[in-house]
Amino acid sequence: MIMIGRDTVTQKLAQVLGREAALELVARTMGEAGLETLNTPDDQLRFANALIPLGGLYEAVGRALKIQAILNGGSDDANASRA
Amino acid sequence: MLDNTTCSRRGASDAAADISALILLTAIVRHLETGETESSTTVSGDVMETEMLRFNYDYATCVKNSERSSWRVDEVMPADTRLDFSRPFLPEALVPNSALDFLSSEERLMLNQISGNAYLNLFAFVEEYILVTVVQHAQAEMFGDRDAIRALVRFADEEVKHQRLFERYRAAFDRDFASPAEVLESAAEVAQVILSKSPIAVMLITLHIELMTQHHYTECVKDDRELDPLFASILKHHWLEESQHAKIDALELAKLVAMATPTAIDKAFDDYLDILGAFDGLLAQQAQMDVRSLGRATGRVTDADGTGFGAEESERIRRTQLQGYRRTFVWYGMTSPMFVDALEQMSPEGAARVTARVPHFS
Repeated sequence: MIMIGRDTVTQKLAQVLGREAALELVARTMGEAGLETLNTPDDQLRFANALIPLGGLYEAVGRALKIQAILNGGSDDANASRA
Repeated sequence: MLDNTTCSRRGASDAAADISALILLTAIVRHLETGETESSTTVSGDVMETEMLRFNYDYATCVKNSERSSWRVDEVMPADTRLDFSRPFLPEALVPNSALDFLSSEERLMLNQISGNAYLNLFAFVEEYILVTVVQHAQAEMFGDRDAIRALVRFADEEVKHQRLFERYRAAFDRDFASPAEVLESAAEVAQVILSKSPIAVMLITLHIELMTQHHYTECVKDDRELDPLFASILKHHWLEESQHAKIDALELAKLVAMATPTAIDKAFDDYLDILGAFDGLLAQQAQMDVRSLGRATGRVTDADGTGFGAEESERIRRTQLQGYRRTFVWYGMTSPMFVDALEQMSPEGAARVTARVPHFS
């Protein structure tokens, strides 16, 4: 039922990379995006925005995560004001 | 199992939203399926064990049902089909024009057929935004639940198929009817209005539409032997697939509500009522168009902009048409027991606001 969170993000990336590589990428991307947690739609949107520039399948996963975050109320405006 | 990282920050109001979502889903499922629905939800602190839920349908079931009831446009309406205008297209419950006693029975039949043509056009209209919405939801699910992806992609394909069927019918109507019948033409503008609203409101109006379609067919069309068989068949095939769409809407709505704050749910009710208001404006335009179309079809029109009717008669036709459209497209959806249950589980206050608007559309 819960569609946002670190597990959801990891699960999507694991389909592409495998679990270990996905966990590593999640940790690295969170660090690059300045995210300490991945609990809210805004967090997920920020994570997705950091993933998209990597291109290829990473970008595809990022876009899926981004749309999911927006459908759940995530907003770039909220991230901009937080930054 | 929930993401514990996620749940650890979720407070009581979030847990309440989860509970609402799960109860909502249970309520909708109970109505959509004839079998028993089991659900077992446990809440420990602010963490809810959603994996305990057991429903008698899921995305995979929707796919299976969709495959079983699938049809092709050419089967339902071959490309060269000629329309038969000897019978009504829609039942009196949806087109209440028998009170227009100044019209002959032939003229009332024409008005019914003009309404049927507009009915399919309005569905083609709303399917424009539904297609966009469903594709967005499928994209959001990418690299996730593959059954959900299949269900959503089939849903999208079926919506485009319905549009193609309605376009084929409309082209045949334009070719075979006595004179041109005006219909709304700004499907993209309508999609823009709806898609500018919150995703929960968009899914609410989508569920409203899918359930309304089922009520039209099962309560008004299915047993009416007077109706044109082709038109009734189109509505039947539409209903067959829409009944799966309503289930998918319910699953998607529950996911959105699970993540929503009380403020977001409140806004969804505002947005839903805004959409109904905008839709009402479109129905008023269509009703006015119908008066002109009837004037042309009956040969009463004497000038390009006129209706061929006196002012009072024109107004009675317009009001009757608008009343019929409001009941058909708005009232049937917002008073559907399944929809009302869903609203009440989301927010009793929001549901009361919707109920307060019902008389306007009845």
